[in-house]
Amino acid sequence: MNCHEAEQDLLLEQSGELSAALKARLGLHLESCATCRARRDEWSRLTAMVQSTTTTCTPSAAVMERILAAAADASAKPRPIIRPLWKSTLAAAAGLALLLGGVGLLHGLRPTPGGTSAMAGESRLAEVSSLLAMIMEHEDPLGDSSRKTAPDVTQECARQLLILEGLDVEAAEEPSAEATRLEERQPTTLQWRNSPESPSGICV
Amino acid sequence: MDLSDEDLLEQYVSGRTEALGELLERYRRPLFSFILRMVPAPSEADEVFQEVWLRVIRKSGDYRRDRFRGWVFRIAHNLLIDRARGRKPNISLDEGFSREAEQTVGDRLAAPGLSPEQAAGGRDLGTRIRAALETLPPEQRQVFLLRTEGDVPFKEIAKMQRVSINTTLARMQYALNKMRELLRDDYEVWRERR
Repeated sequence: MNCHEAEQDLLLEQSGELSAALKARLGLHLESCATCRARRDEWSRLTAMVQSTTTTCTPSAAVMERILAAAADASAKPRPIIRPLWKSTLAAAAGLALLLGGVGLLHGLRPTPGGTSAMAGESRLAEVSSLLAMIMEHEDPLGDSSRKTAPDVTQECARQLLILEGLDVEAAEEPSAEATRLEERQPTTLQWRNSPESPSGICV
Repeated sequence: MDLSDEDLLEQYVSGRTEALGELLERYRRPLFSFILRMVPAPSEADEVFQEVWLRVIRKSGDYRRDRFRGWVFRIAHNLLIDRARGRKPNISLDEGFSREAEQTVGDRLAAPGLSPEQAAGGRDLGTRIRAALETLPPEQRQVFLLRTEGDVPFKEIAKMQRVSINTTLARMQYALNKMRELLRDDYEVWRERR
């Protein structure tokens, strides 16, 4: 380790971002390098000196009052409830289900009668996941791309959505050995779990 | 046990207005101090501080348990960038010239502000620190203040500035060394008093 690397590690150590392994490596360097030890002490003291003048700076009382008044005002209005990410995604999914149900798109996503249930389920899961991902990307109010919904979250929500609509996605994702054998024997028309006779149900 | 910042914001969203007051109190000094030392005129600091919190209030319903500290300083950072752009529309403070060096206009321009002699001639330590900070390029000043005033991790600062963590660390190194040089006399006196 050279002194330049040691200086960068000193900064990361100060901010609590240095791993244990790198801390140990830095410790070894500091034991043998008086220059870096002096640098560490100087930086710590300089930072402390700058911070010592911070306490005299505060916003005006009028500003604090205005902020608190705005907080109280906003609090008096109905507010959205914070939910875990997958729940809010699921809420969006439910909205999507209503929307898609309304225009018959979910119906259009159903497999053709000649297809296998596993392939159809996977295909629909992928399609609904993509739709959800598109919706969720537009949800971040700060427009921060680093906060895009993870694919596993959207896939889980798509799975929940399809289950909600009556599709046994798990069975479709991982067909049992028995189901596989049946499919090999005869490609069947898919059965509808909710109402076998109705084409508006969801197949399993 | 003290509630975390994230818990307080959740409580506020759930209807306990005082929770926002507690958050405000927690961040009053570090956030204001960061803003105060970033704006060209101290009179602007109140306005920026207020706008940061109005945005926190407005966006609180959409907040999803990111680290609050990083979030609130990012809001402040973005507001300050917007204001700087408004003042100097042709100069970008945070867009790189080249990918390799990730240096920006702010890094490359000779730092504006006071000379070291002027910086050292301030009335008190706070004034001299402000004067010394003003000699730093904006990106270095941001990193220095986000660390010293905001205790924001380098990883988050790198995200805010859209540069690599190595660039952020290099900016901090330059800033610390320059500040040490400019404030050498104060530093010696301050150290003896401790």
